[in-house]
Amino acid sequence: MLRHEFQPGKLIAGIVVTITGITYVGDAGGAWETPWFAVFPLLMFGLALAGVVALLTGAIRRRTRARRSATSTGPTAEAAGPSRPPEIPN
Amino acid sequence: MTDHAHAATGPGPGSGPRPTPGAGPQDAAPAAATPPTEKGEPRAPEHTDAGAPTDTGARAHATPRPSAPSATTSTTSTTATTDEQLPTRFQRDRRQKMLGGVCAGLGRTCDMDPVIFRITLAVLSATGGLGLIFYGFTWLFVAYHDEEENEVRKLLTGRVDGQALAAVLFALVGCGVFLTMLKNGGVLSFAVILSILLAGAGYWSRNRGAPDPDPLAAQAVADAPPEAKAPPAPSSYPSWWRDPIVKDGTHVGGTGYLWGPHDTRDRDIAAAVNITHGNYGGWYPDIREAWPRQPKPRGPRWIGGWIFLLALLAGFLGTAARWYDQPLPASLQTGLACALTVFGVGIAVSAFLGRTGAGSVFLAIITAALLAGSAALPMDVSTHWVRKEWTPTAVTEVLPRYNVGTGVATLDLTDLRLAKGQTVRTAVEVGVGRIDVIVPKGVTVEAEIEVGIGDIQLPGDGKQDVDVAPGKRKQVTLSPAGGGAGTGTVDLDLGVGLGQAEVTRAAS
Repeated sequence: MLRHEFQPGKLIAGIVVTITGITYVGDAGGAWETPWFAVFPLLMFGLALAGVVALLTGAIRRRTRARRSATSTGPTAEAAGPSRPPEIPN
Repeated sequence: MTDHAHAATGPGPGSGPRPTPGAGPQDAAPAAATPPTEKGEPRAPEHTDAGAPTDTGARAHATPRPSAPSATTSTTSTTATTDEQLPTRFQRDRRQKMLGGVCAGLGRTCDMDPVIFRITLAVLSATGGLGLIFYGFTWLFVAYHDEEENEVRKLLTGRVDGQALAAVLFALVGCGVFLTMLKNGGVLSFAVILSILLAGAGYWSRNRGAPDPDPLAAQAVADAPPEAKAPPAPSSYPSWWRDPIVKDGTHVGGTGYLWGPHDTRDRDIAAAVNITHGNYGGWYPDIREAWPRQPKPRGPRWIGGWIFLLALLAGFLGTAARWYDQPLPASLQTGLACALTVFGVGIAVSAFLGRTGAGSVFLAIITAALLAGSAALPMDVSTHWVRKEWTPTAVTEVLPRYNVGTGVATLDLTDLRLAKGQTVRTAVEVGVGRIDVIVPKGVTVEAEIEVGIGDIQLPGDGKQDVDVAPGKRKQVTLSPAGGGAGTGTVDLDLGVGLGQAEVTRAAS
């Protein structure tokens, strides 16, 4: 039981962290040169982006879920009476 | 009644150094055993041991607070509800206290024996005073469970009593002991580790088996002596007396009720069968065990722990692979970068499969910070600590450059005889460690010293005058001690990545 819905924020965060790690693996292996401070902009921008994406995803999913539940209950109410005024004013 | 309550009635807090027979009204067993008429009586079981040598309990009853009736009733009502679970807030416990009730309260909060806390706090007090500090401040700031005001508030409103003074004394003595032990790093780290262990044990003990399902509670009811119980609702469960009775006395549709087979799997009927069979001691234990356990809805599993273990393994392997043929920062960087890559892959995978939380991201950030640190280290740091000493006796023997990766480099120029106006130029480089240059008495020294992180010591400085700072750079000219014109000049160029550079003058 591992599968769940796709989480884009996690994916972006993981990719950014992986890229950072590979950057430094290459530096240590002598393939290319990486300045020591490169990790800070990489992780900061990457994780910030991941956070924004995760927030957006959550908001969109919440909205679609709310809309779907509204539409699933909606037709019955509409079938009962589309032009009926609200019965119980709060 | 949950497992906690079972533990509390057993050798739980009641088995402290002052064993109170009625281990307190928080135990659900006496509460369940006593008829409901007695439940209104506040702390009913404790009245039975008022004659016991628990002077504290007796005193607590002899001197009730003015607002006692309302307070006690409220506490009993809350205890009746919180009997099922541990107290949510940490409060000192008056009933099993030794000094201030702190350890008793901790034991009650964490569902552990208070003696564990007492011993550990005593050890912590002896080693660094942390225990005394903790005890004193907790005594001051945490109120008893049946009071609303803590000792500090009482103290500040003028109601000074021995308790508050003792607490203040504890805190003061603890701070004093702590200050004396401040330089002893070993003792302090021991104390910190012990406190972390204790806190972890308490946390684990509090949370063990936390999400308790309901069937246990029902089983606990079956444990207690049976009370008169209504039969199961006939509308929802089939009953033998509703079944059509055949002429010979048997009935159609056996439900297993009363004299049916014992493998009844229905929950409420099973409880009734237990009672009607007199099955208190467990003649047919399978009846109770056979209750269907509701399978927990299992979501995607957490894979953060596995990712952490894998990253640890990758870091270890990466470091070990380059430990011997590469300088220390390079091997460290390899290992940390491998670990970071594993973290990244794990987090990316958890976008589809399994779950990771903020913990994995936090660990990745920590690893990245360590990685930046290892990448920033000077690359000439080796994994072996060496001690090198050079004592050139002639100008021609002085090399233009001395190098040590990690360790102590000592350049002793004492025996160097310099002609008037002659200049010797040399450089010493140490990655991590210490440079010690001893210059002869009568020469002028022109030194350019650069220390990445660390300290520079010159002949005028005191030995204790160590000032560690990043990015130190100093250009000094040291005239000879005599003040007159020197015989020659030593031009030094010292560089230390991390450590200390010291220039001393020879004694003679």
